[in-house]
Amino acid sequence: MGNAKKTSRRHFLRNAAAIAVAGAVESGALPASQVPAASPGKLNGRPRTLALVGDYAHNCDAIRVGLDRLFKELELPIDYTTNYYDLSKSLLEPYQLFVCFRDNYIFPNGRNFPANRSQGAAAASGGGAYAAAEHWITEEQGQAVKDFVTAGNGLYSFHSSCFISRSSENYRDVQGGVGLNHPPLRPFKVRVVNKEHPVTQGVEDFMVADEQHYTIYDKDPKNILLHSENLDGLTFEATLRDPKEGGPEASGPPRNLGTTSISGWAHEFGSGRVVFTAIGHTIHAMWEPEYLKLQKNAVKWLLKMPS
Amino acid sequence: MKEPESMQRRAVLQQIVPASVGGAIAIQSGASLGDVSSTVGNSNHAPRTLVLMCDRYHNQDYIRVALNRLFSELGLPVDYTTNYYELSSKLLAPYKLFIAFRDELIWPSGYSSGPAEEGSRQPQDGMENPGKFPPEKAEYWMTDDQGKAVKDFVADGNGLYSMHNNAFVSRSSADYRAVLGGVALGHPPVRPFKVRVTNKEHPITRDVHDFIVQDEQYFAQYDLDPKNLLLQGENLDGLTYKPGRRQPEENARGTNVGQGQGANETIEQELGPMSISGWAHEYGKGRVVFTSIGHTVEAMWQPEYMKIQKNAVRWLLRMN
Repeated sequence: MGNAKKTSRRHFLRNAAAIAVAGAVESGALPASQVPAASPGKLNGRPRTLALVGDYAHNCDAIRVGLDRLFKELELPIDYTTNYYDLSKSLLEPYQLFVCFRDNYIFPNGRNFPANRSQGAAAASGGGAYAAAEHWITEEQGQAVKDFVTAGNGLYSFHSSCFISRSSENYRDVQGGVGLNHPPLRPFKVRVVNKEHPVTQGVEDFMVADEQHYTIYDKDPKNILLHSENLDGLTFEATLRDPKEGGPEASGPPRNLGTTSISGWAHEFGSGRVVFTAIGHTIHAMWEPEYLKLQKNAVKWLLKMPS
Repeated sequence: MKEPESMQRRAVLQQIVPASVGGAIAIQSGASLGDVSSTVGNSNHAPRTLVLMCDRYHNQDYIRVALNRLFSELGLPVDYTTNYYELSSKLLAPYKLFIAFRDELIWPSGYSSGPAEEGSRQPQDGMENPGKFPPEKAEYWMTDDQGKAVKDFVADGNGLYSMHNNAFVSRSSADYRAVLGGVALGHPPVRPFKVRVTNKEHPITRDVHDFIVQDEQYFAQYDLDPKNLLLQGENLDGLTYKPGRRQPEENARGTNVGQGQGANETIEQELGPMSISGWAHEYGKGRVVFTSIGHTVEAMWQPEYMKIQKNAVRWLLRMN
């Protein structure tokens, strides 16, 4: 009856702790692919990053591939979780940087779309389709992220994470802005509007085919780093409104937001730092060379590493 | 739905972290559990299940939604991870059941977009220099140690529930194939087919009726005693399946794991409208189930299939 494996989870964890103390850890945590085989010891003292990844419209597999390259080239370790319900103060405690790459929705009652719906299929997001959606983030979790940053750590919010601000005031407070939705995948120009910031050093304007997220930035406009513009003159009509106008699902008649969107910002918050960049629906967008450069700068800036 | 266990887990983690002050390495012990935590049920006495899920073609979100319902209705706890590189004897030690719901491939050098049925294109399609684009390159994630860890886990008396495209993992690991008892050959696109219970005497299929489902009809080879076969798929329109020329991304599936499926070999054999779609066997002191349905939440929640999954989990855990 499987009695041989009666070891409880608790015991397992305690054993893990005991081994850790003994210093002879064979850790499963560290993605082997992320650690240069020759220098495992260098982990000591290196800042650690936790990435919360994956939602209904974003397969965590693609996000992991995208971020793995970034952190490999930065020679920094990164841990991944998809378990949004685990986000807490204690989960974040061992880390210096929290990367958030998922939206605000969960669908516990299911949605009838193919398993692989992840890349390039984001157009079909009508209001009715989200009828069964729930918001996963609790204010306690929002507070945990806020406190984490206030205490001197970093938050790098990617792509659809701007929607989390729709369902958490604390998260919005620290992220400093909120998403209003996006047109389908199409090419647009990303312009660096503040070339003096460490995050944009050496970064040229670039074209990318991605979801052009339209956002509201709540803090000092001088913190805005990136604008995106549809060069074909295609505009975006948003039905979502600022949640301040009616909660997470606040909406109204289509409102034309024009061709240009706020696509990235960076600010200090308490003793910590925050970056948001909106690009990221596909691996090839994540790996656009100028964008990759910008992401590297951002991670270094967030971790207060020399650039 | 998850607070009691989450709280326990956090309390335990809090013990780890202070205890391991002074080493980033030590902290990883806690961190490794970041992607493994219980979502459903009370774990104090119930047998524990770990799910490894998600690959390029199968979003973690729908798998979690589907399995959360299964385990919620069973009143059993379930933990989830997507961190394939963490699979080990140590990771499995606290568990009685391992659910594997992902394929054998990783794509560390990237990929462009979803599969053909979504109408997606490669970036080089229609360009003047398509040859300048590097081909997508898949790698196997499972190591020999990991295949052996699963085999030993089952041999020691625990359960393995392999779902959907997971039978592809047998293409990359002889140990995994030994315990799973079979291997996937491929599947046509999503279309409706009939699932028939071919052995109605097994605890897993008791009171389960044949059903139609719209899904990927996986064609699999079963290596052990044919009497262990439980389910057969049939395309009632008479549509057949011939793996034919492998898709480029399937080339990495080429290693010969005992049955001579060469790297770039085309399988010209017409496999017909019928497929092997599910089996159950004992392995060492443990038990193994494979069921091939599962590309959508709707398919996972097909009422008869839900019954099968519940029976399967209970049988694997030796519950009545």
